Amino acid sequence: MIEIRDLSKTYNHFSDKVKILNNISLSIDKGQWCTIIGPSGTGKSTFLNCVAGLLQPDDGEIIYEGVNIYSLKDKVKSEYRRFNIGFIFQDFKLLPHYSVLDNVALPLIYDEPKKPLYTKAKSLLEMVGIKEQIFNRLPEALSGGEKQRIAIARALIANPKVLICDEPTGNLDINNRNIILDLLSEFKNSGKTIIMVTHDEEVANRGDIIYKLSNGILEERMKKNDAFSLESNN
Amino acid sequence: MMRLVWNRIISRKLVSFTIILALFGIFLLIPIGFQNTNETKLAVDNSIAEQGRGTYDILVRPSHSRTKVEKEVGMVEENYIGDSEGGISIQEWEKIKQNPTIEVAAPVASIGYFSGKKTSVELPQLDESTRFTWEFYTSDGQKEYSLSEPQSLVYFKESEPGNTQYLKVLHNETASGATLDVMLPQTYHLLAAIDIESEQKLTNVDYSELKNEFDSFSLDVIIKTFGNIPIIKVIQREDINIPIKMKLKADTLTLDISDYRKKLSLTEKDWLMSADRNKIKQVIGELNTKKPASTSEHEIDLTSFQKPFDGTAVKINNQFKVDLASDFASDRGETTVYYTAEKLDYNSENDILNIKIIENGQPPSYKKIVKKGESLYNGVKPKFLIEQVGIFSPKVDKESKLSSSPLGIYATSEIKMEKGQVLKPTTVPGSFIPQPAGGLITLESAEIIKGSKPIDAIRVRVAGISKYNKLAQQKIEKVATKLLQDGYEVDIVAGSSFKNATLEVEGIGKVIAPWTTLGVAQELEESWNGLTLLTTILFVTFVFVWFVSRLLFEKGTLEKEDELLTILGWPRKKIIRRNYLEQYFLLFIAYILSILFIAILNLEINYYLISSCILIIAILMINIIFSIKRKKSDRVIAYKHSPSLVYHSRIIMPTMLILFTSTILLVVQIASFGNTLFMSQQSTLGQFTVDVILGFQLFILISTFILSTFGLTECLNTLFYARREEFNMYHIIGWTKKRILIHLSKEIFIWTSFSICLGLITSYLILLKMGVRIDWIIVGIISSASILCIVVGFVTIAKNLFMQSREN
Ligand SMILES: Nc1ncnc2c1ncn2[C@@H]1O[C@H](COP(=O)(O)OP(=O)(O)O)[C@@H](O)[C@H]1O
Ligand SMILES: [Mg+2]
Repeated sequence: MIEIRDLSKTYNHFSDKVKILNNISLSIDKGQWCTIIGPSGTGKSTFLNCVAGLLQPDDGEIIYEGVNIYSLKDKVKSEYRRFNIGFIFQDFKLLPHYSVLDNVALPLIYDEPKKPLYTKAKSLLEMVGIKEQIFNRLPEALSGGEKQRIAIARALIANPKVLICDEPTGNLDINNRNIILDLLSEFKNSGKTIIMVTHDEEVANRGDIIYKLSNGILEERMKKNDAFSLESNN
Repeated sequence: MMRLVWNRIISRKLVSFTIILALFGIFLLIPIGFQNTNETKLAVDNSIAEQGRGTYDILVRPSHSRTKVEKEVGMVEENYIGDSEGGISIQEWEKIKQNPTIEVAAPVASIGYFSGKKTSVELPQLDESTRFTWEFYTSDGQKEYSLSEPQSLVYFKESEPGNTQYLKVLHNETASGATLDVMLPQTYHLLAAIDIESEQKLTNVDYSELKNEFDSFSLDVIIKTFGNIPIIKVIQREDINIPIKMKLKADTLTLDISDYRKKLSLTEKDWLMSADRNKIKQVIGELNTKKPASTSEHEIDLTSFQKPFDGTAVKINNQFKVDLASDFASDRGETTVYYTAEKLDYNSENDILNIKIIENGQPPSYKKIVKKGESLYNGVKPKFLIEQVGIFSPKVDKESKLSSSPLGIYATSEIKMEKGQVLKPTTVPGSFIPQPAGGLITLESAEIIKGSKPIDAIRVRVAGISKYNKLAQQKIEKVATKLLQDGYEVDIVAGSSFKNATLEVEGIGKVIAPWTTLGVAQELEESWNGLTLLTTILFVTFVFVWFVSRLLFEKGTLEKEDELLTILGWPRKKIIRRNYLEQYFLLFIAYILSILFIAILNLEINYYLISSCILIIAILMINIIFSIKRKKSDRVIAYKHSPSLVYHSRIIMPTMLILFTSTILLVVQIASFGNTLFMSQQSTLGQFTVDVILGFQLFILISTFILSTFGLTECLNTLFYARREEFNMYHIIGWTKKRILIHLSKEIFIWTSFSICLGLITSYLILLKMGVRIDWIIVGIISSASILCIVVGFVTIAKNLFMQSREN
């Protein structure tokens, strides 16, 4: 599904160059939930942005279904992202002036007729457990858990093949964290691919495969309580 | 603390710099706006004066002599001095004349409508006895008016040289035995008084014939009859003729003179006219009914022989052609009768001046007329007698200075019907066309007729002006101010120009008359002052809105930083002090810069004062705005329509206000700019003023443009900055650049077009009220709308691309 080859990224920190990602290669299968763990500041978000086509790497290729996303024109790249990749962030990134429903429908409002789109948005919201009473609310007036569920609904509106999650549970309590993780599991079970970044061991354990990012290098790590299942997956 | 503030200013170099620049502009431009009324007035006057100093600089009239129509349309009809009531005495004039800064002070007084002595027209002595019937006509170019009742005279072929036999009814005239004389009808002409020397200096026309002696022999009889009465010398204008036609019918009659001698109880040798008057009347009545053997009718044009105050006697020869008469009669009997008229009562309505008939007649009278004096035939001793002693001939052609100066008594421009027919003043006092003076008399004579304050106007030329510079202008203004303080009605006449006025004359129709502006300067100045005031008000509003909005924006940014500082444990007092301090700091830098500039430009003390006032107001505004606590909106439900507009209303509302005021500023500037241009070109002299105004108005226009662009850009910048997360979001969810641009542009279009439209409508109404021509309003609206749309569009697109490029 996703091939990452020799990915490198360097940031300029005043005069010195810091190589955040150093020749990372990785392949993620369709239907796999891949988690990347590492302390904050190690370059997890940078890695995700590169993978999502949002941040041009210095070197390397990101290949989705045989196509190098950085070889695409800007417009085509955007379109690919719109229809194939869903995003979830730690800080939700909901637009504050749109209602909950509008936020969910937003990615496709220029692509699909309004009525079916909103019907789809509503069913997605219901799926993630948002009650109809708050469809017309502003995101600001909601709890973190609700916001993240709405963000998930938005990420799913185009029925993407891949979900990219940047610390999706970072701002949530345990209860909400589990709800979100369960939703992601459900998504994975429907055959979709998930790439998730976190600094939380427990969250990372929900993935099929875990990588640790440190010093710009990615290394595979065994799941803590499930060494066997990791074996069988290989 | 100070270092912290300073660091923040430095770290935001560009923002701080533009704010200081804008504040500096405000500290400098507003005082200039308030002050430039005087400056521009001088400039406008100057340019006119440089290009065309008229024959005089200042028109002085008695106070309250400005007519209603003059106030309304800002113009005077030609020969506007006529029908004035006076109000300035000779002593007052002499006092004005004595002022050493005045080179010429030429007084003028309209006296009234007078008639000169009548002369005779001699009828031919044909081979057959003839009954002559005639009637005199005058014409205003369109219609003919009878000047007298039809009269008749019967000529007998038995006449001998020196003993002409005829019969006619006498009216206040004597009969002659030598010729068949009939008297021309009475016509009336405007008489005006001048001072010979000063008028000559002013106009370069020779009036010295007013000093001619009169022929006392011809006045002998009158002097003998009435004693020593004042004789007023008149010089008549050489180039004015009176339109007069004689319609003459000659009926050949078969008559036997002896029959009529019998009827008149005369002997064979007697002259027929020596008979008893009543009997003559009776016999003529009888003769008038007699059937003619043959008839011929003739129309004889006497116009070229008739001057206002002294016609040339003529003789109609046997072929009914006009010859000069060698033997003639003249009649002074009615020269002591005259008329005065009130000013025409113009009623302006939709740019048309209506004139109504006051008294029907031949021709009708359009003014209220008062008959004065007594006919000499009434045997009452007259107060004076007028006698023509010479001529004057002003060289009136379109190019000469004389015609372009509203001297008030000389103009003979053509007045036309709408279809182009030329109209002439009729020879009655009530003519709706203001007559030029047909004759001139001295001021001393004027006193005899008009009383102790005869002068209607004094045209003043200021001394010591060889070159027209600011100094000269100041000189003129000084003299004008002095005269104004003395209680006169004063106009600075820096050249005047013709401008057509449309009159709707009852009984005639639409008439186009060349009126004159007393001074283009005044008119331009007035519209200019209105414009400056409006611009200043709009500009101040604009600046106020801009300043308030940028404080609000600043407050928004600071609030986020304040939260941080609170977390860091700063006391609230200290945080607030930091916020104020930075604003004060920027303000003071701009203020000190502007003060420096005012000093460098060597401007008046007022500039410092206004600048300081603005500083105080600005400080107050900072305090008020920063001390108001903003309530966080606790709205939960999203807005259905334009949610982003409502959500960002704190930024969008001020932006809309700025856009609204900029629109008005631009439209008003452009439209009135065009209007001034147009108005100036309408009058002959106006175009010279354009250059000067052009520069200044262009400066204002460009400043307006820069400021509105600047204000708008800042607002849009703030808006986009506040929404930078949104850009990022759109990018992440896979919207293309084009889509993001369209999405945001659509939203911006809604409120920008709303405020631009509102501004356009408002400025349309303002300009309509100001009397700006509709086509210029349209030009202003279209160009401003396009300019603003381009600015908004450009900033939006540029900003969009910039924000997007940051995301990549
Ligand atoms: N645009 C940038 N320019 C320079 N340095 C950056 C930029 N973005 C991130 N960094 C630096 O790269 C490092 C990794 O950042 P990030 O990928 O956000 O880490 P993580 O998501 O693991 O916390 C950090 O030290 C951060 O300061
Ligand atoms: Mg991160």
